Amino acid sequence: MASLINVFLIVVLLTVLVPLGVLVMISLLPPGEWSIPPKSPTLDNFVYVFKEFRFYRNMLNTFLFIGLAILISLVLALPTAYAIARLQIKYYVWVFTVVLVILVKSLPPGSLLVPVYELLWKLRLTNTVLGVALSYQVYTLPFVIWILTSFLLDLPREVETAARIDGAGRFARLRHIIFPLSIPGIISAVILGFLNLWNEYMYSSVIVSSRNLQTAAVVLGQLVTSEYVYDWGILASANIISVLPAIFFVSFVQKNISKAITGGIKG
Amino acid sequence: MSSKSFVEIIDIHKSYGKLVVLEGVNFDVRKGEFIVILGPSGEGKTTLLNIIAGVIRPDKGKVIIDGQVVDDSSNIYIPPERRDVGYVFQNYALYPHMTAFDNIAFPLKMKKLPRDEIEQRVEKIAKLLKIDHVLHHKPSQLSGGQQQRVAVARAIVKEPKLLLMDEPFSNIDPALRASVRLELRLLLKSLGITSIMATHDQEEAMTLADRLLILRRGKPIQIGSPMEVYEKPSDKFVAEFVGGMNILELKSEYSSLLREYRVEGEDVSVKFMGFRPESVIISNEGLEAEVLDAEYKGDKWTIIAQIRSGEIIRFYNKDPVNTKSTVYIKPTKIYLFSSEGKTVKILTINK
Amino acid sequence: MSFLTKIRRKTPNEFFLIPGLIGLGIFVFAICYSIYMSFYRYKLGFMQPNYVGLTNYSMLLHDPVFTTAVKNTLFFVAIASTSELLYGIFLAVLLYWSNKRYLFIPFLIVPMILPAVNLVVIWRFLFHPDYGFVNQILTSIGLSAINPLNNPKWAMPTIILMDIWQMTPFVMIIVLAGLSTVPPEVLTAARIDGARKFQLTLKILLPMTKNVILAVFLLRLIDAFRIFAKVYLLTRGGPGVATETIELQIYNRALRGLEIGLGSTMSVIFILISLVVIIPYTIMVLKNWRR
Ligand SMILES: Nc1ncnc2c1ncn2[C@@H]1O[C@H](COP(=O)(O)OP(=O)(O)O)[C@@H](O)[C@H]1O
Ligand SMILES: [Mg+2]
Repeated sequence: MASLINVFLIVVLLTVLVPLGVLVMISLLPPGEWSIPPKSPTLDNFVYVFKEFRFYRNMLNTFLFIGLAILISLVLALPTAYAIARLQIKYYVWVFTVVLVILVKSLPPGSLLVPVYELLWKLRLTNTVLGVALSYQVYTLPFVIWILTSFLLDLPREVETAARIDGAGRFARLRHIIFPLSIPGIISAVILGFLNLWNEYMYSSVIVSSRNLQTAAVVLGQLVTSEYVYDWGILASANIISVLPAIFFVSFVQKNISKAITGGIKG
Repeated sequence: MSSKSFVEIIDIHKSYGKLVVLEGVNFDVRKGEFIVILGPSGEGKTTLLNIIAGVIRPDKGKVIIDGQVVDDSSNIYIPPERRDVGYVFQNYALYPHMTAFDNIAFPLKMKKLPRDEIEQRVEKIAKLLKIDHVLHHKPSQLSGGQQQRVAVARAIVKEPKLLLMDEPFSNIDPALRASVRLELRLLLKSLGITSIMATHDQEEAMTLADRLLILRRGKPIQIGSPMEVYEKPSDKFVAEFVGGMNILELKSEYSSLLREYRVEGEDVSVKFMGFRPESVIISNEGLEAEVLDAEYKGDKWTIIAQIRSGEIIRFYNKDPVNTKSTVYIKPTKIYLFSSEGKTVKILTINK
Repeated sequence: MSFLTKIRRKTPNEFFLIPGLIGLGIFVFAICYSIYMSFYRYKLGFMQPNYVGLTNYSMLLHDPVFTTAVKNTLFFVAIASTSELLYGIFLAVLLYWSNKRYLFIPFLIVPMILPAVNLVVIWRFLFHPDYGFVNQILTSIGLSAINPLNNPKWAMPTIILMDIWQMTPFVMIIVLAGLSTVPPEVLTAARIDGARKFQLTLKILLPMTKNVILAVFLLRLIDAFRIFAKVYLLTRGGPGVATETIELQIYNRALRGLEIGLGSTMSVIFILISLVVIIPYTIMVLKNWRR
């Protein structure tokens, strides 16, 4: 029975690995060829993507936007999550805040695109790093509040009580106790936020129109949607390069990733 | 309350929903005194300490520390961070991300003391508690005993007005408990710290306390020195809980025994009789009992026996007694309790 | 006592909520603004808002493209999330009983972290009509080539398949974590054989995991409304309107055309629809977070 289960899982594994293998093999195709597996595999595509295509610039943009967006979210989210999870708050204020967090977290981002775009346009923030990072708050702010709140709710209360006894007020507790103890939660928020936004296409493509601020996802998206046959090898190798940071992140925290995901779900 | 009392706990009530935990707790603590709150688990000891510390608020009642009302269960409420109490938690609640040094230094840092003074005081207290060699370790790298000492050091380093301790020895290796207890008592006495400790362990309570407070069904049923509580338990529960008294329901079989104590039938309110294991002597008349087992206790034997009515009693004897043999025993001191369990009479006879 | 300390002590606990509330408040304002603008005709940068009452709504509700987009969105959400839930539970159970699960898990979760663009490249190449991998295989075994992405009947199922391929691991990993919290004592009593495993799974494991399963289903439903990148990059809504979705309508028709009024109306309709899954989820979170 156990071996039958494993055989079945191997079949499932193949359905995952074959398409991934296909992607890798496409990236090794020389221009004009499209036989799988490649007859004359080459690494030229990767060299091209880096040297001529300057794809790393777009990846740096993505990093910059996401990093700034998550940083803003963390600063706003930590005190809020702390209050939701730990402080005595009037009940209706608490319910109001939680509903707001979950509502904004769950709304399809598309439904906020129009007003957010118009607001940023009026503030002359379209096509700026700050503008993109602010628009990403649609994703990151409620998400980070959610993750941190779930995390703080699970943190034993006694340590904070001990800090009160030791004379630490709310601000001191947040700084000396809650913040350092939240670091694992903050790390999961950063990783999941990165994984989520690395993918982002809608806001990135609308808020940015100038070429040198475009994100990796948008550039790749433009390549892949262009109707005429583009060089598949270059497309695939750019894709592989773009996914490396995500793979890096995940392998970095491989053990904790399912914990990070499920840590949020209890909420 | 007398003007000498340093801490006053007045008529504290606390319920969680329908569960009534504390129902009118009154007591006072003199400066430098060591009070132990004793009671089985779930009787509200932790709740009471938390109310004194200000971690939770009572539904009714007042807490006064050093003449200042810190909680009157309505408008006045001084939060724990401004009460100047130390608290050793049952699981210590050390800060896992800080070294032992930083743990102990934290209360001083919150007082914004200068850095060199903090260092001096932490090192002094660490020496007293013999943890000066592990100050750079994180709590997870410390043994249970060291963690407890760090917790104590953190609680007393700021020289609080009042030290609270919640079962501070429950996570300590039983073999070390006695010596750790003694050291702590001596230290607190030498520093003159007023302390309230909670425990469910009567032996611990007896050895440490200046005065015991026995908590039962939300109320202190007896407050007094260990000797008073032992000699004159206020009721059947205290008698059994402190020092493990044998309690028998009074039946006609014992009337001959009771007659020796000149208890006559007229005392109808008496329902239970009790005697301590150490007050029993074996003689050739008295209560008939069949010996079930004898346990060696070093200087004496604990004899476990069954009396005719079927109840099991225990008593001490210098020598072992054969199992299955029948003995006649005679307590030198008996306690009589009413049907509600209140102590009505304490009688002694000469052998 | 310093002035600052006094102020700090006086601040109510609710003060700590303010940073987050300000951020979230902007989005709530955005929603209100959308509702307001949905009664206007307004082209950003070209004309001033012009009150038109319910015209936008009645126009959209009679617009065959928009109504198709709504239907497609609902179809996608329902089919994709249900399939992912069932398949994900199935895989989680297989992994739960597998002694080699730690070998499989790291590979099985890879699709979950791939950006949509990667998926689209893979899918387009796999199903490319001329030299796609699928057709290479089909023709080599003597079958005729297919072109599902260009077929109105098969385009949407192909997108759903892609979403299943990517998002099933999410359900799988969370349900597996839920299954793992079932105390082993509950199970050890029984001797393990084929029939028993099946029964233990149905009678003990899954019922004890039902809260986690419900939570993950709600999360998938909510997330399934966000398919923009996949659809936009794979088919752009085509062929015809076969894979047109609400998000695509907002993006292409409203935003590219700077039709703020019309786009706001679409947003309001989109929000109303998604509330059907957001409300139960919110209630669940409120219950779980209740202190
Ligand atoms: N926050 C709480 N909510 C509900 N019940 C509680 C809470 N804290 C304690 N209790 C209950 O109050 C009673 C007393 O608890 P506690 O003070 O911890 O007792 P002790 O320390 O004597 O063991 C117990 O029955 C416990 O279950
Ligand atoms: Mg307790």
